Amino acid sequence: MTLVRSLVVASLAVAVARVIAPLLTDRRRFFRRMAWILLLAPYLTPVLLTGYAYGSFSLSLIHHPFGNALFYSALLWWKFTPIAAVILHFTPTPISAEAIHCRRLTAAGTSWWDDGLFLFRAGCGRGPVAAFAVVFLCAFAEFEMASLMVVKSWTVALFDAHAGGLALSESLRRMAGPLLGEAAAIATAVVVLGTRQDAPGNRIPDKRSRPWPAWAHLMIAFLFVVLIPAAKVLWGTFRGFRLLLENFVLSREILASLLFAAGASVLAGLAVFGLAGGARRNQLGSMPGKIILVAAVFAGLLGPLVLSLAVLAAIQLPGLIVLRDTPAPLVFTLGLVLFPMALVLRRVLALTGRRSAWHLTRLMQKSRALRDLTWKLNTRRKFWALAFLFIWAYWDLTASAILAPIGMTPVTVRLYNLMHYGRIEALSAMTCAAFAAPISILFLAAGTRRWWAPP
Amino acid sequence: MTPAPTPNPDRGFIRRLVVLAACVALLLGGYWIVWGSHRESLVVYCAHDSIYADAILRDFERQTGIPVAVRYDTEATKSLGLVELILQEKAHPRCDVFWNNELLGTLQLAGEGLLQPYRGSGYERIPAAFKDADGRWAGFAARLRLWIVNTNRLAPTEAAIRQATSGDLDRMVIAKPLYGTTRTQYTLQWKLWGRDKLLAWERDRRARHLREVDGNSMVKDLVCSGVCDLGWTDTDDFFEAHDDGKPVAMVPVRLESGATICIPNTVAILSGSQHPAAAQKLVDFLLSEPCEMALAAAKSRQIPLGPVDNALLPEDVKQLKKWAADGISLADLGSANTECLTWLKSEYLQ
Repeated sequence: MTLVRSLVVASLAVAVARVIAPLLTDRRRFFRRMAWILLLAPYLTPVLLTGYAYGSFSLSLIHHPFGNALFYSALLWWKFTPIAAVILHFTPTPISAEAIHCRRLTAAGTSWWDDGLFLFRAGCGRGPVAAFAVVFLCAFAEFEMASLMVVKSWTVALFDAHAGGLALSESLRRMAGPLLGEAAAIATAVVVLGTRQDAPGNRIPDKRSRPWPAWAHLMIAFLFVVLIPAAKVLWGTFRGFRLLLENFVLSREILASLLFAAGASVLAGLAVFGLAGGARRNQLGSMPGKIILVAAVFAGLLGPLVLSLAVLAAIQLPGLIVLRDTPAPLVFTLGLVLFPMALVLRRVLALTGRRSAWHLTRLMQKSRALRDLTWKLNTRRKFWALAFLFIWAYWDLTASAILAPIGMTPVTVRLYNLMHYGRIEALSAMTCAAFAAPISILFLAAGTRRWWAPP
Repeated sequence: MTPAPTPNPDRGFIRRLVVLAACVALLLGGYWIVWGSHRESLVVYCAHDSIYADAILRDFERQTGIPVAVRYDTEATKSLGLVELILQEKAHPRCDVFWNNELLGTLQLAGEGLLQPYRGSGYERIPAAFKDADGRWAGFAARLRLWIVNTNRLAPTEAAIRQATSGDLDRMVIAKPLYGTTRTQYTLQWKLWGRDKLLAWERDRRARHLREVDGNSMVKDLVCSGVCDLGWTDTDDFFEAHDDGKPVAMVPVRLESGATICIPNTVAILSGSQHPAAAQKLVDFLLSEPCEMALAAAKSRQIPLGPVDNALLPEDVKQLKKWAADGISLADLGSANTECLTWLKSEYLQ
């Protein structure tokens, strides 16, 4: 069931991402920005929020389980299409528009099938294949929303079975099948994206494309994944705020989550930016270096459920049992989960940076202006990349539920538990407070820009 | 001429990250030392709803100065998750006190020899029917199994319920019997009927489209919203709906003998506890009259089992106490518990 659903979601996501792609390169700045905002917002909305908002609705579909599964699949589609669109955006075709035109002139009368085959052989299928693999992976490994929306999935079954006393070895044995599917998707993505390719040519203009279906998709996704859940939570928040003020029981949990997320994002940041330095000094050209890198990417792409169960097994071993009650296993696991995304972000920053301007800035005398320029041209983008990782780690539920030490329950675990009691106003207020905490921290951190941008 | 090495544009950023990493490590360490499960903390595994249990445990901390580190279970795998965790950890136990929200898991741990006896002041005030004769566990603050009925759809009477459950069960909902108090109910039926009759009963109900969800709170939500007409739940879930003004009423679940099902919270000290003295204090605290009164006065309306001043009890709890007096004994469910759980796991964890 999960396999079929994930395959369908991935296919639809890639198909729609191709329609959306032109909006992301629109020459009009306002429309381009709007498209990016509408595209990324659903992906960045925590799944816990979406799952919570639709929990009651899903429950009301108890007599229509197929309808519920269909709605869940649609949410997955809206949520993960941005990944496909971003991958397509950053892996444009290697063939220029002019070359395509020439090919069409010289091979007049060939079928669309021949055209397609030619483009695929020339490397144009690289982006769609990678996008399909990564979206499939995300949909296949999704757990939180499926659990809150009472949808059958292998992740929920495995988590429940594990919590219900299934031996760790048996849990790991049951993971073998899904793991094979995940490994295939990861291998496809790594091989396809890792293929060396010539510099991209001009994007192929698709004259048949109409912008309105793409805008319609973006708006519907924004409405269902962001706006409706946010409105539901905020509505409850206003009424539950008084209760929250009277008895703010989540402060410790929020603090724990902030610290875990900070630890994991800094760990991933250090690994990735340190790695970039290592690559520059050719220290990663060696075979052991490559093996460690691929192993870390592979481990991270397995997702928090599989990885956490593996780490849980590891910390039962005699040499590692001392770590069992410490924050280390959770921080390490979250760091690994973030690692592939951190690598992607690092790559995107490298591709889109203004190197010449940055080099000129480096030649300036030390001054306040230099700090400001350093921030604008270099550090700001890294800072926000790190902030993205921080937010992602903060909203993790799976690894936190499995690996958090006693007495350090992260807020997501507590909220997830409370959310199973149904929607209550105080809980909406708590969710809102949990949502606001990392954003407030980021605003505070953004105030330290001068510290982040050394001359 | 050798070209000058390209400066690493990330170097300054990495240095900042190292400083930040050190700060985060310090803060995490500080948090862990203050609130984590360190040497002095009394480790409590708690299957009772965190929204009620947290206040009680914080009160204990304030009164005794003993720091408590709690691990709660998830609502979906109520109590079973913690019981299994204790079983998995028996070679290297972490838990000092297990506060279970039902009895069966505690009986299982007692059967495995993982509980140590303690007969303190709290134990003495609990009636014999709700405690282990060897002192390995004691019950307190009970709940009743109930029919929750949507009054817009059905009259809250036993006759109407019998009528509604005689045909298709598409509009009746229960929690998965693998977990929590629904499991206790199934185990009781297993003991009273035997395996074959229970399995036939279960097959028949499934054929008649009985709905199952993850927990009792979901049962309550479905009945409140009118998606289902009736279901099984516990008193605490029922009163949440009742206090919210939902159109619901309760009717106690009665066995064929007419007995009700009254399920106590249970508390036990684990063998190998690192803090036996503190653990005993917590057990006495939980089994005390003030604690039972606090749980009775809470939104969950739990039924005190030990002697309390009845005049101070809320009206709802007085009614529940009368029904609880008809409760069937849960003390000798040992073998039925093991057999029924094995069957349930084979049904639900595949």
